[in-house]
Amino acid sequence: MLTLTAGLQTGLSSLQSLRTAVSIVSQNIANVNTPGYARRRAAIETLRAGADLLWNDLGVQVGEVRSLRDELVQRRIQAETHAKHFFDESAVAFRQVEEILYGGGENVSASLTRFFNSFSELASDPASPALRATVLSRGRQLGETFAATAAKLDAVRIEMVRDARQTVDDINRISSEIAALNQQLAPLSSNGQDGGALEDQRHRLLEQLAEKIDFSAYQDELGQWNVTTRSGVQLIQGSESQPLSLSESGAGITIQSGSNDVSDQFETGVLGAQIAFVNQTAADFAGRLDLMVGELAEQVNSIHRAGQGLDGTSGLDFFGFDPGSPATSLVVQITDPRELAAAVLGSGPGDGSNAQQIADLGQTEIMALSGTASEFYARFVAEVGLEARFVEQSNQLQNDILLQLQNERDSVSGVSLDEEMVSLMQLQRNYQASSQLIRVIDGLMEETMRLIR
Amino acid sequence: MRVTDSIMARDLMARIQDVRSRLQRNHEKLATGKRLTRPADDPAGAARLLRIREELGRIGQYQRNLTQAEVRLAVTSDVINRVTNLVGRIQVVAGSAVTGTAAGNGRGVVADELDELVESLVDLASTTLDGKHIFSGSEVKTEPLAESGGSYSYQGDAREILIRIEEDRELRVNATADEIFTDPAADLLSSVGALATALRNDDIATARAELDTISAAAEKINSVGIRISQGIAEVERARPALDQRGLALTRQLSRIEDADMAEAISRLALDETALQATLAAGARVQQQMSLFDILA
Repeated sequence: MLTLTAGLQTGLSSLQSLRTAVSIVSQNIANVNTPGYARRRAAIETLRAGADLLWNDLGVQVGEVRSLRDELVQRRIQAETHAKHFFDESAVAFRQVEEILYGGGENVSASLTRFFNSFSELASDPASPALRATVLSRGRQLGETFAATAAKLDAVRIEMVRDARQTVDDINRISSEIAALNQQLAPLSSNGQDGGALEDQRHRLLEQLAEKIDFSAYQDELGQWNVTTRSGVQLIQGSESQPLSLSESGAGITIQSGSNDVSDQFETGVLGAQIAFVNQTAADFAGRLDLMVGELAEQVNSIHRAGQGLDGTSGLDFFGFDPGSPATSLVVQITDPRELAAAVLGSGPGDGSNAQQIADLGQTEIMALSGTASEFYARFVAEVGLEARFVEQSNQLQNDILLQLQNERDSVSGVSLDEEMVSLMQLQRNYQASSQLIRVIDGLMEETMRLIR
Repeated sequence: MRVTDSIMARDLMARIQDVRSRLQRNHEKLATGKRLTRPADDPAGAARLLRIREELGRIGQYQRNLTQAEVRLAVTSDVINRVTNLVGRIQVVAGSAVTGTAAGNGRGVVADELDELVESLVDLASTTLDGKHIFSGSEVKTEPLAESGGSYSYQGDAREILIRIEEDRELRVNATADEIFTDPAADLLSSVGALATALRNDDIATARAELDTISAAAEKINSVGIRISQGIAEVERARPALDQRGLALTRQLSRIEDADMAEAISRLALDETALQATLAAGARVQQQMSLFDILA
């Protein structure tokens, strides 16, 4: 039998739980634009005193508050994020390389043409001191252009190494934060509770980590996220994170976990892009430039040595360079313009056939370059362009995929203002009805009191 | 699908970004006039551009070489013409002296004139261009002829001076003094000297023989002159051919590198419209009635 006071209690419980529900709605509305926020739902359930009788119900209560998440979509976002950021990071580097190799001003290609042309010009008037001086200065300019190009390429590499250090620091910070959250959230999860904001934060951190590297993550029975690289190197286990360290050597950069070299674990993500650029791409580019300069200088020298200068000197090298690093060290060895061997041995100062031979080198196939020097360079530029284009297009595609996935996630976890509004209206009506109920019961009680008087 | 505010906002942003980046790209095309500003725009095109520029640079050099060749050939040809005139003069005065009536003193006068003509010839042989002897082969710092005891010997070498005027074409631009003045087969200078001596001695038979040698030398000189003229003709043929090549390459360069302005402008207009539409649609969606409007 319902007593009037029990009726008042029921009305009160209703008002109380409605206030909680409204506060959850307002929480959702407040976080409509918060990244990583998963909307909350309150489970409203009947409050009962015992299990036996319908009459024992005492009203309503707010049970568990849950965040709505789709772990599957969440995982797919993590899995696609690293690829997008790999291409993002690579695109930046390639853009710089393109500018260096192909940009306006003094590029290698123009310098080469001018260098060979100066020899052709000299061949047409070999005794002219002015033309001899021109050849020497064109040679020096060529050396400077190669050195500048190599230095700029190296600057991109150095910048990438610096960025990689930053990335490793970021990874370590994120890992330790996730590990700390694991520790805080473990007792909640084991009680079957929702971690709420902390859980959101952990997901956001996992997403940030996915920008840097590709990883696999699983939740253990305590609800802790354990993170390893794809092939199983432990990064986070429970409340422990394993920091990575970066060391740099002549061969490139090495990532270590403890004392183990784990560089090969990172093929994608920002870190993967940085390692690949420093250890492969930059080394490859520098190698090509060195190959080209070394071959070219060697060929010019061998023709030059066979010729004869105005003063009868012969057997001199035109270029000097350090065989270990030709591109950065190419200099013109000849200082006296008269030593420039424009003539073939045994001819007079008016012979320019040796200079013409050097000029012709510009169109001669060089075996090691599988083509002429300028063809080699043009191919180099084309390959960089192709790679840059591939990276950019992949980046675009990856962006679209990620956008789709984020929409899918928001379709489950995102806050819809309309929806919240409808809830709000429902709650408002509910509140009005409950208040009315209390007023009616109050009336009834007053009537009852009057009976007593 | 459940559509939330964040999905709508994200999609709108993505679309605006998309149109804006197209707009920016077209704007860049219009501003620079180029469709290819970085290798990624057209990697194969970029490689071709580098090679075309290199070829254009080479053609420019061949054009300068042509000018150089032309100057040398013109000077050489000019000298050969003057030599031919002098040889003609020698043949005329000596011819009349041999056949002639003018004996004794008259022949002495002719002989004196011949001596002067020899000096003129030797002067021509040491013609220089820009301070360099043109008839000494590659020994441009050496006088081509040296005199000793009234006879002249060649001091230079037999090297051909070649100037590259196309990838696989070299043009010979010189003649040597021993082709013109002291050809071993028909030595002009010593013949004229011997002729003068013969005339002074009234040795008509020797004089006639020397005149025959001079005729042979004149023919040789003529053939050298023809070679030089052919060189000049070749320069004149090569120049328009190079210009043509340069023009064709420039056109190719432009086709690869330059933006089609009309297309870029109309694309720009299209993209602008697209951007306006996107923004308008976006504004509409964002302002769309929400339940808040009704409740308020």
